[in-house]
Amino acid sequence: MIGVIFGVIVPYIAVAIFVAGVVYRFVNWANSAVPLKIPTTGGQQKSFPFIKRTIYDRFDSPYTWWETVGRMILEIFMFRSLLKNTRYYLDRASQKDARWLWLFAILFHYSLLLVLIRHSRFFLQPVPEFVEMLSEIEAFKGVFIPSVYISGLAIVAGLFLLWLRRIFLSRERTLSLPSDHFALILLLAITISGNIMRYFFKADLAAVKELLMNLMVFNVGKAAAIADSIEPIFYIHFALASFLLAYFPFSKLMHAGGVLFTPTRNMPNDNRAKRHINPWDSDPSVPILTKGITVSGMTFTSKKLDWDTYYSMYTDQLDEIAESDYKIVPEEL
Amino acid sequence: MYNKKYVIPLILIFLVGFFTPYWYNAMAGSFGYEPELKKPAGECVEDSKWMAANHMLLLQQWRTQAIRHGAEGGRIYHSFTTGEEYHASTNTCWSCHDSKEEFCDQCHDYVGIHPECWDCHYTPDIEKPQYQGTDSLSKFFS
Repeated sequence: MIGVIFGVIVPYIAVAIFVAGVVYRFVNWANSAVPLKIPTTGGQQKSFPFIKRTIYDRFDSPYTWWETVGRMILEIFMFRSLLKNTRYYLDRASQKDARWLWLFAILFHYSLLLVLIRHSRFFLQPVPEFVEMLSEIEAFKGVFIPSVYISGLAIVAGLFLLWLRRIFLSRERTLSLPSDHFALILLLAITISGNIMRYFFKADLAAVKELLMNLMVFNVGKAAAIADSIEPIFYIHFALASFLLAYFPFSKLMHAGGVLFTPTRNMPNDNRAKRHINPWDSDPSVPILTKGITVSGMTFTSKKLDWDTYYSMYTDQLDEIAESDYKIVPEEL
Repeated sequence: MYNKKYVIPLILIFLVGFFTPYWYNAMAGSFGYEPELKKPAGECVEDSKWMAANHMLLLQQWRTQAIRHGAEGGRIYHSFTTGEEYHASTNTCWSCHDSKEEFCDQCHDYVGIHPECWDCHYTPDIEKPQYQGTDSLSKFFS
C-alpha cells in the first residue's frame, strides 16, 4: 500500500505539478513588464572612446548583446555575483571578505549536477557511456568497495555549510526566512537518505529502475506490483524527492529558472545609447511628465513648479552658486 | 508575453530536457525494458529478494571471513534463511548461476554499474586456456 502511494501516485502528481508549475512560472514572468532599465553594474560602462574598458568591465557592465550573453553564462555557471560577497562597514574603509559563500554554492550546485547526471541511469535504457564513465571517475573506481561517490558526500557537506551559515552568522540568521531553512532541510533529508540507502540499508536498484521504466510508459498495474516489493528506505528518498519536485516551482528553488528572467542581469547597460520603452506606456512619443500617469481612470500629472516660486524657495543657495561664477537660468523644457 | 523569441525556446528546451528519458528511450527502442534473468538451478543461500539488494554485502562478508578467519572455519557460512551450511566462496554462487552474462550482467548493465570484482576473479564465462600444442598458445600470447 505504501509502495503504491509513494511509488506510483505521489510521483505522478509531483511530476505533473513540477512541469506545469515551471511552465506557469516562466509564462508568468514573461508576462510581467519591465518598466525600467535596471541592470546592476560593477564596471566602467561604455562611454567615450578614450575611456578604456577592460574585459571585466565588459562582463560587469555589458553593452552589446554578446556581452550580456557572456555575463549570463558566467553568472549561471560561475556564480560571479557571489564573488562580490564582501561586507563593508560603516566607516567605509574596513571590509571583510566573505567569498566562501561562493565556494559553498559552487560545491553544492556542481555536486547536485553530478548527482542528477548519475541518477539518469535509472531513467535511460541503455545507460549512456558517459554517465557510467563519470560515475567511475568520481568514485575513483576500485578504491573503495562499494564505490564512494564524492559528489554524494560533497553535496551533503555543501548543504550543511550553507545551512550552518544561516544558523550561526547573526545577520544571515536575521534575514533567513522559514522557506530558506525548509529548502535546505528538505535537500539535506533527500541527500542523506540517498547516502544511507547507498551505503548502509541497501535497496534493490534493478527493481527501482523497473518501477521507473514502467511508470514512464504508464504501465500502472505492473509498476504497483513492483513498488510493493521495494525496500522502505527507498520510499523515504523517493517520496522526499517527489515532494521537492512538487515544491520546486513555487519556492525559492525556482531561482534555477528565475536567473534567466532577472532584469538586473539580463539587460545590457546601453541606456544612454538606446531608449528603453516602458511596455506599459500607451504613447511613448509623448514624455511621461507631460502626459501624466493614468491609474484606474484617474490621471496624475506632475505639478509644474514655475521659476519664480522655485527661485523664492531656494534664493540663498542659488545666489551662493551664482557668486562662484555659475550662470543661474530657468531650465527650458 | 514579452520577449517571445527567448521565452518560447526556453520553455521548449526545458520540456525537451525534462522529458529526455522519453526521446532517448524511444530512439533506443527500450520502453519498459526489463532484464531477463536465467533461472538458476538450485536454491540461493539466502532469500532471493534479500540477495537482489544485499548480495554485495554478503560477498564482502565472505571475503573478510575467508581472508582473516579462513583457517578457523571462517569459510563456513550458515544461511539465515535455511540454516544450512555453505562454503563461503564465489564458486558456490557459480555452481548454480552458470552464466555471468545471462544473470549478473543483466541487472548490472541495466543500472549501469560494472563491479571490478571480475577483473581478477573467476567467472564461468572466462575461456580457460587448455594446452593444445604450441600453435594454439599464439591465441593468448603474441
